[in-house]
Amino acid sequence: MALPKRIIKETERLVADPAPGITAAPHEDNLRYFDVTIQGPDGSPFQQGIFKLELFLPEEYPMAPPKVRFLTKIYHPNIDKLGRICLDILKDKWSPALQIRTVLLSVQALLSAPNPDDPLAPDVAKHYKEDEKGAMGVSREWTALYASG
Amino acid sequence: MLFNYVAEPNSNLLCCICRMPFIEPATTRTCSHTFCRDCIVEAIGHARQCPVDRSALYIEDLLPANSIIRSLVDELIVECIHRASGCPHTCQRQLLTAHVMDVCPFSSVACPKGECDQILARRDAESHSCPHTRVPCELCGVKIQLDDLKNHIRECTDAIVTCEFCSLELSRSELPAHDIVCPEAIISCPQSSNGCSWTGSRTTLTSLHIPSCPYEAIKGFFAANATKLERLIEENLLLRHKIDLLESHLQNTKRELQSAKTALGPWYRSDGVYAYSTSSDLAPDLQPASASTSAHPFSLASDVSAPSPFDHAPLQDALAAYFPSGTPNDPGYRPAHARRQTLPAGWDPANNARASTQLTQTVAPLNLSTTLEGALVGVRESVVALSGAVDSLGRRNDIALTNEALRLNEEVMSLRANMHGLRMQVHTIMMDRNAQVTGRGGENMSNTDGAWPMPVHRFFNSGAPSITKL
Repeated sequence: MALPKRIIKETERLVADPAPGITAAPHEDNLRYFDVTIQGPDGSPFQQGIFKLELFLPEEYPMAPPKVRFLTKIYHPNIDKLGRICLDILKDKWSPALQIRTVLLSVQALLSAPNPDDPLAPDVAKHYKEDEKGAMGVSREWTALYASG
Repeated sequence: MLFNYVAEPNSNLLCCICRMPFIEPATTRTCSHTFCRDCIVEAIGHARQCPVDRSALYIEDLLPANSIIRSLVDELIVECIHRASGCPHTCQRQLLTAHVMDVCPFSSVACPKGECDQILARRDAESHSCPHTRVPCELCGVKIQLDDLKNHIRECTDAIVTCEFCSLELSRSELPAHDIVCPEAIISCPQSSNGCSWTGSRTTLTSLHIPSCPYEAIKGFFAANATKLERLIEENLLLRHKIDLLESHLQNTKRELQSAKTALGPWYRSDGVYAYSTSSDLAPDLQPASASTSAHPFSLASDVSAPSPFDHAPLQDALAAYFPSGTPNDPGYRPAHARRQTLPAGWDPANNARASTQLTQTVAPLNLSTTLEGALVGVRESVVALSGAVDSLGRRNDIALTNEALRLNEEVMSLRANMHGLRMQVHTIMMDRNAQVTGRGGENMSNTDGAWPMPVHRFFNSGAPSITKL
């Protein structure tokens, strides 16, 4: 099936005018599959880290949300061991007015603002709630360990 | 239709769903957001909310966008969709359809002559020499499609062709007629079917070959042979047909024989004893009535006149009686002799009473025209009848014995009376003798003619007890 014009335009813009701290490049053999990197936002325990993600645009896109997953290990209450992300716009709060760029910006914002009240990794969330400083320390350690390069 | 816009459109005119300038824009009544109509209808199909602010939204809430917006997007300058083919035309978006439909030299159109279903670019349509155009053949005048013309010339009946033998030029339609008479045509000898291998032109055939052809000389013989052969073939066919018929008949007969064998069971004998022996030679157990009547196991002494169907029935009939019939399942069918020898009254259980009286005269022969079962039933009934006869015989013997005993009894009584008389006489004689011996005979002598003197008699009786009483 031919690629919708919207995806072509989005891809062109992502490559030509990337959002700060975010890169996204489509696979050559599957233009719906993107390799994504997100820099850890300054001021967060993930600062300096470069996190790899994968992003897939399903057949129904833009009527259905893209599928996004962390490939780099990350200590975050809303991201589980498998890299799945608990983010409302990737689920029921998706809107066709959103696009790849906005989704990736939202993921980046999630790194700055962990939400332990809506956890996907309960032990990390518990750690964040009980000992935020210690938990952020672990996040920093993991960032240095897994996302340093 | 996907448009290629010459300039980057104002971002306010982009649909947030397809990221392109609005096509047939629709604005929501509830939140005043504008989308392409197709885009927002599809989005509502997935989630009934506005894609921008997530407020509830239904199809009924969509209104055509403000005419200013419509004009703005309709007047955007777009390239012709055939730009890749070479059309440099650009125009307002709303006019592109008219351009493509009516003007663009790269648009696809049907053959303008309407004679073929080929689709071609408009610019080629005028110069297009449609292969389906019909043109008249120069020779015969028939209209032929342009691309079929070459093939037609090759077989046109009016085309001039040259006879390959005599170089005469004539139209193709006349060629077959010419071939038959062309004097130069190479033909084979009329006797080629009989083996003549000569070939040559038609003129040389009559002038040179025919007089010298060895086959021609004996063509009468060939003709006679051919008719003979034909007759033989015909006859052969006929005979073959006959054989087929006979074979099928034989098969039928075999089948019938088989069914007859099955029906007969143990009564069937394959050694041909019935077919080749005379009536008297038949096995005694299966030939009950035709043997001598005195030896007949079922005949009584008075049976001499018993009817024996086999005595006068021909042997074939006797044999036929062993086989149930050609149609064993048909109870109505029975050969004439079989009907004649159906059992006399004695075999009928309903007439048993009469049978017991008649049996002394007649016992029917074993009925072999029925099945084995029927014959067995017949035999059993004859045994019943026989036992009845024996019974009555015994009773008559009893009566005769009783009569004889009575007669003998009476005779004994009369003998006894006689004996008594004799004894009396002997007694008188003894008394006389006694009187003579003792000397009182004078007295007694006078009494000899009269009655017996009772006292004497009494005396004698008591004085001579040794005399035996009879």
